[in-house]
Amino acid sequence: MEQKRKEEKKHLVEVEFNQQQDVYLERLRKEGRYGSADAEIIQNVFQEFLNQTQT
Amino acid sequence: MEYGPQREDIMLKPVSGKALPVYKGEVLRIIQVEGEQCVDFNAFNLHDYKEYMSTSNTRRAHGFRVKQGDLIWSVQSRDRPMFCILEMADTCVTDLLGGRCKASRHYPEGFTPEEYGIHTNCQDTIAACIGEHGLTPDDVHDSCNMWMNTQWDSNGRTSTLRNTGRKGDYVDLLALFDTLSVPVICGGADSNNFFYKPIQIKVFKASAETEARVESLEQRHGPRQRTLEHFRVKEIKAARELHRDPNYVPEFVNFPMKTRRIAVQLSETQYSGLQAMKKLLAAKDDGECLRTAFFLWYDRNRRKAPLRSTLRLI
Repeated sequence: MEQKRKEEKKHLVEVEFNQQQDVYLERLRKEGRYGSADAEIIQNVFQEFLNQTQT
Repeated sequence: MEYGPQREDIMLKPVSGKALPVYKGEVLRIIQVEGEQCVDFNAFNLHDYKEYMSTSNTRRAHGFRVKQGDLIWSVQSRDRPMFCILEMADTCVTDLLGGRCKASRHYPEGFTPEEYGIHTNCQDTIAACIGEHGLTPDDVHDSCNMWMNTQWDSNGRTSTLRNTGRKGDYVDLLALFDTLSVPVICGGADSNNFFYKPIQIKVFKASAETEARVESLEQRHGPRQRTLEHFRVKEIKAARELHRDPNYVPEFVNFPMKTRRIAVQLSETQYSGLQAMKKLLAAKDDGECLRTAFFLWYDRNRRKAPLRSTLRLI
């Protein structure tokens, strides 16, 4: 139960993107695999990066 | 590949060189007459000398040593392939880092104007060649060095190994636009195994095959090219003194850069992963680490031509 509560805890991280970096978010948004909102795309990409680097 | 008829055949004596036009579609052949001779090479756009060969732009594309099949590029302001290396002997070790040798390198041994006279060197040899076309010693640029067997260690220190060029070995450069090509016999010492040898230069006229190769490379790389029309300041300065234009306002690309902050919600597990990554990357805060992770992922998974950055997690 304690473990589950820990898993549910959320952390808010503010990340700064410049106008040129927005292009990459837009490209991934069009791709559709990582979500539509910027925050959602960044989170999903980060999860995939974690999967790739932790295996 | 079949070339057109030979139109030039020049024997360069040690320690000389030659500035000669090599037109679009033509092939410049540089031949080791006896072997073991380093050749320094400069090149300019024949119709606009401000566009010249760039060793840094070339090594950005192909690394420190160009080889057969690689392109030799012009300066970043134009970013255009100047030559395609059609043939290159295995013994031709190239060097895009060494620049060119100069007289002052030999001053400590007494090769000064006052004592023994200056030592031969590529800076002065190239300057002597291009003077024929009205160019000055300041117009000499870093060389594409051929048969220059240099190496570097992990600290960036350079050293020269024995020249391995053999008699009869050659390099063929296909001109992709009209050039003033300047091959010279290196006047340094160690890069030629301590003795100067002659070099033979031939130029072959364009053929249907060389023209087809030029056209194919133009189609492939043409769109990235910039011309004078893109320049805000087009005129070449005639005066040597630099003066500030008080009315000039620079137009930087995408300036001022706009940024925005995006709040990203991470799970406990993701956040733990971010903290571990932050240590590995030495990132100063969570946001910087998350952005870096995003672009490392993008580089690895989406970018067509990966960045050369060595910033890697694994």
